Amino acid sequence: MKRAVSITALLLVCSSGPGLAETCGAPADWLALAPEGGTTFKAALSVGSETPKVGAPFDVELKVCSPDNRTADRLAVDATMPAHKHGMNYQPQLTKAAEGHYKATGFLFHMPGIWQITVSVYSNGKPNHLSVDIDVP
Amino acid sequence: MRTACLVLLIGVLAWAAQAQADQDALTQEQINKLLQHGPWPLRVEADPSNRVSGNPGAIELGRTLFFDPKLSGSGNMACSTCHHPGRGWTDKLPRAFGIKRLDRNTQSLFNVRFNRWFGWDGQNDNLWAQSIRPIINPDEMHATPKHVVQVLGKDQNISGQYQDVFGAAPGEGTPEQTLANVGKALAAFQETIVTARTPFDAFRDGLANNDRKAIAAYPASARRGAALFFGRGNCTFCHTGPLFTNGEFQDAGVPYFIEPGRVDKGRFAGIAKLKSSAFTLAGKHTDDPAKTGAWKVRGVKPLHRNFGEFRVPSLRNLTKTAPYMHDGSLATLEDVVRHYSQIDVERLHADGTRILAPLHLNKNETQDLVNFLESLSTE
Repeated sequence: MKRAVSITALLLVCSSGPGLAETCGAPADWLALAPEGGTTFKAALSVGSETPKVGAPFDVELKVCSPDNRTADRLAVDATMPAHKHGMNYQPQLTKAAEGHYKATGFLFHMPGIWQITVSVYSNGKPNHLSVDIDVP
Repeated sequence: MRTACLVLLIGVLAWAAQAQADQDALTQEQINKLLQHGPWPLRVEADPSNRVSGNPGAIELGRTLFFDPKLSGSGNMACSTCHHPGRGWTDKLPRAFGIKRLDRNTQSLFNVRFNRWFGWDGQNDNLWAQSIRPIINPDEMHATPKHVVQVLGKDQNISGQYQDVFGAAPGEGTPEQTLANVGKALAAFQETIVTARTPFDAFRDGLANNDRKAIAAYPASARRGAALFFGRGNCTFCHTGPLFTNGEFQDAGVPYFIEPGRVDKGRFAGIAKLKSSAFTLAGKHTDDPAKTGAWKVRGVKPLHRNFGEFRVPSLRNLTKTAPYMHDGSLATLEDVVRHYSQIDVERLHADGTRILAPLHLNKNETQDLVNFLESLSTE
């Protein structure tokens, strides 16, 4: 009985929440985005091997998936500084590399602080938002 | 003897305490930020959009053209009229004079090759386009592409240099192409205007390498000013990196009314001019087949907050480029520091956490910050 409970607990722990390596098959060092408003879409992104530098352009690689096989009709990506209530001076350009795999070029964080990257996944005309915070020194 | 030793010991202890106190003027967080503002000089790379960037012949041709007034419609005005090498590559006036008094302060050309955007409003995304702008501006040098072709063609020396650099005579192809080439030669020359190392750079490298001698050589007042700059002054929000600018735009609380009934729209107007320019990095005159710099003009977003925003200038060599701000309204560095110390945040159109806030510096703090800013200039 005790062993069954332990195994069950272990299974529950292992299946709860998105481990980084589990998010859409992305590499373990990618950042998992937090879903907003109860969306079941998942996403992970990479900003490259180093934290973006202030005033230096960079690109973002993105993977998006849905455990219940919903289709992403289109995506939008952007970034803001929630504390300052302003966004970037540039609109990143998004291209699709493969199913669920995208590249966004032309990001630039022009101030140090917390930047929030938001990915909006449009499915059946409805937006699903996911976001991740990056602290830029 | 014993007394002498005691006096010596007290002196050494006092010196050590002062040295430690001076170093302690900077916290580790401030030091970490400070270290990001170097090393200097930056690595120099050829501009891929300008096929004659770094070309010695083009630099020489650009130098000749820079100082020659024949490029202007009147024949009286050269680039050097406003960008004078003996005046910090500016004209030392609050607002520039072309055919008439212009709306903005002449920006220095120090380190211009490292800019992402050009002009107070960033209406150009590359240096050769920015070099063309005043030539054909009716309020400045008041010339046309055809005029440029004619005057170059009549000057045997310049025509020969042009032929050697570009492999064609002035006027072969369209007048616009000749104008673009002139811009590229001027850009090649201006790329050579790079500043040397400063007392700040020696201090910064001293901290990076734990060089006590270099650290101790930096004046205490400038060190206290650095603590303000990298600390509660939050100056590094915008004046960041080895160039001391993030290369973008900000409303710094300087009024953008030029005169009653007339406003300077700043970045807002600059983006509009950029999008209609034939000389951007996305256009046909770039020499970069990959158009690697085109992401800027393609991606830049016109935003409401762009009204009243102007390009964040570099702080290097400030002592040579007074007066300051987009309208030249602040005559000295003390005036600049006082401006930020007493800034009226109500006139800044910003929500959320204030990026700019009045610092309420006292007289000594003001002097310390000025001394720090002066240490960013070559001696």
